[in-house]
Amino acid sequence: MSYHEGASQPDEIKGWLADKAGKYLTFNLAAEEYGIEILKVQEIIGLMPVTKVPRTPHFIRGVINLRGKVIPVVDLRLKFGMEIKEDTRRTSLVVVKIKRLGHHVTMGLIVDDVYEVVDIEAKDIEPTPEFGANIDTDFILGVGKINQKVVMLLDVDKVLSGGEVTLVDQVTHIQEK
Amino acid sequence: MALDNTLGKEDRFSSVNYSGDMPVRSLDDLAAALIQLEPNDSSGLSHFRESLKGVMENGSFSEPVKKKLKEALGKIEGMIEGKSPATEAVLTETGKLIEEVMGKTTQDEFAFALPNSAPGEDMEAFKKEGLEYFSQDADNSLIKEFIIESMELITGAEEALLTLENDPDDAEAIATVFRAFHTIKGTSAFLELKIISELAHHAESLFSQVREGSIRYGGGYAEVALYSVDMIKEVISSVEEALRGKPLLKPQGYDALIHLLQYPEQARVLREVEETTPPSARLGDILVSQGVVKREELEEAVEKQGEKPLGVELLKLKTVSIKDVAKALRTQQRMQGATPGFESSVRVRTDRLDKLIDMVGELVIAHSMITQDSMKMGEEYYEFQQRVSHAGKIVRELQDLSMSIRMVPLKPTFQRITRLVRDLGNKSGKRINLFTFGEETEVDRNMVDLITDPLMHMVRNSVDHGIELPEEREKNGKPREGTIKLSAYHSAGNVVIEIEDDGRGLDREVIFARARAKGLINDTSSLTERDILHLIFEPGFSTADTVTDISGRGVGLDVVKKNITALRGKIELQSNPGKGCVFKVRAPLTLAIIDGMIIRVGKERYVIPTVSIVRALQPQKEDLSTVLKKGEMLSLQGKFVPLVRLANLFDIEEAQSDLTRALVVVVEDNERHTGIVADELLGQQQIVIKSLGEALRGLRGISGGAIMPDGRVGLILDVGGLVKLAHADEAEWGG
Repeated sequence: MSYHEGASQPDEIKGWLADKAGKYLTFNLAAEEYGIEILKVQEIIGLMPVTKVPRTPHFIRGVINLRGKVIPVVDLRLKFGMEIKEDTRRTSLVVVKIKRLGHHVTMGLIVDDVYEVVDIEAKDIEPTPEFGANIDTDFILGVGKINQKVVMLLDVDKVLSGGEVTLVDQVTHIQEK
Repeated sequence: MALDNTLGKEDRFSSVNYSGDMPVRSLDDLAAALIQLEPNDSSGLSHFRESLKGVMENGSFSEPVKKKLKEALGKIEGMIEGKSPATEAVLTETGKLIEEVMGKTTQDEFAFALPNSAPGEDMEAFKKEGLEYFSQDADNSLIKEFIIESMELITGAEEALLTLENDPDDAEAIATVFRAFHTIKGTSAFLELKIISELAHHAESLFSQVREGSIRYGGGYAEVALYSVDMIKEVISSVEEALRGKPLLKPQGYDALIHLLQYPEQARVLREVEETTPPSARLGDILVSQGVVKREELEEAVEKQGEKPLGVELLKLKTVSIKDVAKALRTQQRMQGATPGFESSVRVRTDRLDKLIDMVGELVIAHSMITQDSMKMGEEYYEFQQRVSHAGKIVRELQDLSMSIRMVPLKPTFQRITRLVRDLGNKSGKRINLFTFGEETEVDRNMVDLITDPLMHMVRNSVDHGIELPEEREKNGKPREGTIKLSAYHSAGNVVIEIEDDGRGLDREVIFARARAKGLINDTSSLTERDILHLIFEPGFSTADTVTDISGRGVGLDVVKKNITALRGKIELQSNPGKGCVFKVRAPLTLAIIDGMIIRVGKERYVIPTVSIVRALQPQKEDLSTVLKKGEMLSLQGKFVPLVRLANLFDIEEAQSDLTRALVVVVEDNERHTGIVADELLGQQQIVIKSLGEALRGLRGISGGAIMPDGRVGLILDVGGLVKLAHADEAEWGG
């Protein structure tokens, strides 16, 4: 592609980062701060009773009834391989609408605590550093800086891809049809 | 705006230049992208630069065009690199350049690109292939509206045509058909769908003749009219495909039909015109019965009548006053029940409807929680409790209403069957009267689609195998015309549909012999009458000696039974050899709600559809046995029933491990029994199913989700899957 030719390197990155600038919902997960593009977030609700679904990947906590719609709920701690923690009063469900194989899927993400909505400018976003093969950074869009804090910006569409895709699909499909 | 004009031209141009040339399309796209571009949108500018480069690389342009494009690229790059100020003015300049280029390509470049064929010739070639019938710059959303609207009109017209079959003088029906053709003609002409408007135009003129009374509907005209309706349907569905990019072609027989419509007299040769018995409610008869006119006078008038309506002739003869005729005409209308009262309706998107029903379901749950709380509050809150219960009444009414929104009458299905019987009768030379009852019976919207095919198949079967040829019927002392009765009614929360024919009925002996020959049965002693009749639903069974065009396409009644069972319905059969037989289909009104038994295993709850439960019992120690220390079995009335422990299968903790203290729910699937081990039965409940996707089958053991009365999600057990697991291949399930 001829796109890169003639353009200086910093410009290219600037353009790439400009796409990522915008409003993010930040939340806490095992003392780390993460952000999700606000446009993907449908709503935030308190944790409600979750029905376990047998024979699904461990990070799928189960399904809930979101006002008549059955949606799957993903425990982000488990998904990211963090230690299991008891739910608290601050534990919340972030309901996101993601795009998967061309159709929209609604699902809930369990997070430790929801913070705020922040506006992150392009200049405050850095590309994701490489950590080598041990840490999968595919689903991180970049790293944002707000007031000396570091926020990992999640690519929600990608969070649920990977080895377990088929099973996740099975659960999400139930809801879609 | 000049740019817009050019875009329009480009569109038509690309439709002719169909070989998928990139440059034209992309220039078009470029212009569109440029309009939306903001001068300070740096990523947008980069994107634009990229696509512009792509266009320049991929397209073959003449030198002057290339130069202009390069100039445009320069401007864009200048803006990106900050050499020139990124302003609206620069963008406008770029736009002008591209506009110029586009003008050049349409006028000059075209001849340049196709040096060997003049544009005119090319047009001609595509005309032949039918591409001209679909205008490329048509508004897709308008066309979609048109498709929906026309399909409704056509269905209405079809129904009216069938009314005309029995009563060729039904003015209301003639008007309905006329209006349908007229409206379709108008809209399609507006949308430049010439292929439809032409057809509708000719059909309309045929019916304007019918309406004026210059020709009488029936015989060949009826054939042509029905054929036109079919043809319009076909063309409309190809328009639908054309929206997805397929070329719109004239269907086969289109031109021939247009010819027939222009000269409908020629259609008479298609079929002998049968004398139709005059409908009783004729104007003359009414006038006679009202004592306004004497029978002799009437006959005189009829003789002179010619092409004019009878009423006019009678007036001319001065035997009646215009008041009398008008009164008689009104009586006639009343008798035909032809008050054209259209119920007003609104089209609603089904997803909104489903959402409404979901929300009402949630409202019911939320309200019942409030009711429970209010009960706990005690005497001093009496007024509050009153209000809660009042709100409850409203909620329940709302729920009934929302369920009824989903319900649609079976009428369209019955119409399709009416049409089917007519066509099949003509094809097979059988004369059949179809009577329908209860077409206003309502069932769930999804149900209609699912039940139509099995019904059509059964009717086909009745026409093909049931009703005899006229000669044979006469020999057996039956009327030449066969009768099929189609009726629908509600009964005990189900819809029942009966198909009754007065044909030859099912021959017990023939079925028996056939089933034996095909190896479907070997043990003959225990078969009841019902068992034998139901053999016709076995796969691989077909009693017809010859495979006909109508049924017997290798698809048997077994498919019918399978489809009905899938709807959780039942099919019954009564036969009276020589006199006819009755198929009786019983199906639930809706697929959205099932009766379920809720069981508890450990802390989890699951739902078992009540239909598949045989019984529930607490097992005795002596009835339990194990196989190879693994599989567990329960002896039940001398038969061994394998047991499935959900606790092991689904990794449920804290479940009852002692079988004699647990409960066994015996379920049935495909006549195989299996015991599901549960801790407790929590009760039976009507459960709203949340529709399931294909992929759900991958989740073994669970067939879907349901909203439980407490608002939580319950999982419905997949009985079929569990039975299969218990009976055979645990290996198939994996760990």
